[in-house]
Formats: sequence, C-alpha cells, structure tokens
Amino acid sequence: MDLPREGFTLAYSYKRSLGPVLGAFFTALADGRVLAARTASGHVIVPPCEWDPETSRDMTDLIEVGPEGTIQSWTWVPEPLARHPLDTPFAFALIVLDGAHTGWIQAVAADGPSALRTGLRVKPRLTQSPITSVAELIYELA
Amino acid sequence: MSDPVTLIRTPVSLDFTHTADPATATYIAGLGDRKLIGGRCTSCSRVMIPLRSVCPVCAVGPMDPLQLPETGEVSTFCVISIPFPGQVLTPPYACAHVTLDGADVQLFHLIGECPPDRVATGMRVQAVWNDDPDAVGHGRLKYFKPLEDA
Repeated sequence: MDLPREGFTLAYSYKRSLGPVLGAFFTALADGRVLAARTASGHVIVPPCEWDPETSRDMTDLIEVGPEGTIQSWTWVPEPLARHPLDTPFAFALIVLDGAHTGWIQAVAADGPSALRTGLRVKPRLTQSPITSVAELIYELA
Repeated sequence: MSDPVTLIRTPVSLDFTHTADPATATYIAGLGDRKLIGGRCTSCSRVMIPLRSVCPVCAVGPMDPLQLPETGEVSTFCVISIPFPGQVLTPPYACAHVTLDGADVQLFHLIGECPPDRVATGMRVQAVWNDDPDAVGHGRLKYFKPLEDA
C-alpha cells in the first residue's frame, strides 16, 4: 500500500528577555568578549549563571575570561547540519577559557580530526560584525 | 562598546516527515473522494473518526470502516482572536470539535460561513468540501458551516 507522506515544520519563534547577568554577557559577547560569573567561593563559571550554585545568592561578580582557552574534550562533526555554526566539517569542543574553571561547548574550525587533541590551545576567530549568538563565536587553533 | 543587549531571539525549528498508517491513509483517501471514513469497533461498537487501526478504547482491531454523514453538532469550540506566527487564517475565527451524526468521538475542524461570536455548543453543522484541487489532507474538508441560521 502506497502510504501518504507529508512534511511539516514545527517552529517556535522564541524571544527571551535578559536579566542583569545574561544581558551583560550578551552585551560583551557582541564585542567578542566572554564574561564569566565568580561565585562566593571563587569558582569562575562560564557562561555566567544568574545564581550562585553554592549559596543561591544573585551573581554580581562578572569577570572577563579568555579570549584563548584549552580544549578539554571534543567531538568531530563530519557532516554539518543546516543549523550548525559552520557549513564545513568542524569540531564541537568543550573549551576551558583562560581564567575560567568550567568549560563551554563551542565550534572549533580545524582541517580535520587528526589536527585536534585534548589540551590544544584555541583562540576565537576574529569577526567584523557584532556577535549576536554564542554559535557565531568560532574558535580555531592558537 | 556595543549598546546593551536586553533581548535575544532563540527560534526553535524541527522538520518532520509524517507517514500515515494504513487506516489513516484510508481516511485521507476518503477525504479526496469527499467521504468521511470512520470505523466501528468490532468489540464495543463505538464509532471513531478518523478511521484507526485499532479501537482507542478497547485496543481491538482492525475496525470496520464505515462512511459517516456530513452533518453533526458542535460539542465544544474556541474562537481564535489573537494573531500568532505562522497563522494561516485571519482572526477572529472559530475551531470546533464536531460530533458527526452516529460518531462517538469528535472531529476537530474550522467553522465557516458563520460569525465567530455566533458559534455555539449544540449548533447543527454540515461539512463543506474544498474546491481547491491543491488542498491536501484535512484541508480537503474546508470547514463546517451552520445547518440552520446561526
């Protein structure tokens, strides 16, 4: 039996208002700077969280980290999908930016998986226009 | 230094390809022939529409296909008055659960040829078929219109 088949797209056009922490984070990100939150115990978390995970107090101590960092772990994406940050094969890497204690997952442009390994240094690729999404911040080998 | 950022857009989008099961395929083919195809459960005798592979109450199948009439009544309804992204129709318009005569479950569709504020529970309605040759799926059934003066 030839069964009917239909495609459909489910989409939500969310807009999110940003509070004092993420507002500052995205304002700095537009200039390519990354802000982290420093907890009461001195733990530096990136991207910044809005409340201290240990004391539950508001996070007010935002500091700049990076711009360079170290690959903590990574995975190679041989066939990028339409909404991936790069349209050529790349890596998603957990990067610990200089000055931070936690890693964040970012795209790393590299020639191939053989060019990457844990512990390598990376730097952000320079862009001309303001960065409006963390996906636009692309890293490459330093 | 950039202007302060107070809002970000985070759209979510998922692409699906849905393949109908044989019972739903029979129902969809029926819409193309301007027929409303339901099914009667061989165990509890409930009449379901659309036709399903098994009775959703008894889980007994297959169901006996049968053609339902194009008339029924509004069981419940909703008037959509606000716009939203991707909206096909211009608000205000009404959607309703219609219980076709002889059916034990409701069919969800639009109410047409009737001001939305005149739609009422218990209103008698009749199916109106879509003359657009490009209409697909449930769109082949255009809407339900009032049988009496609404």
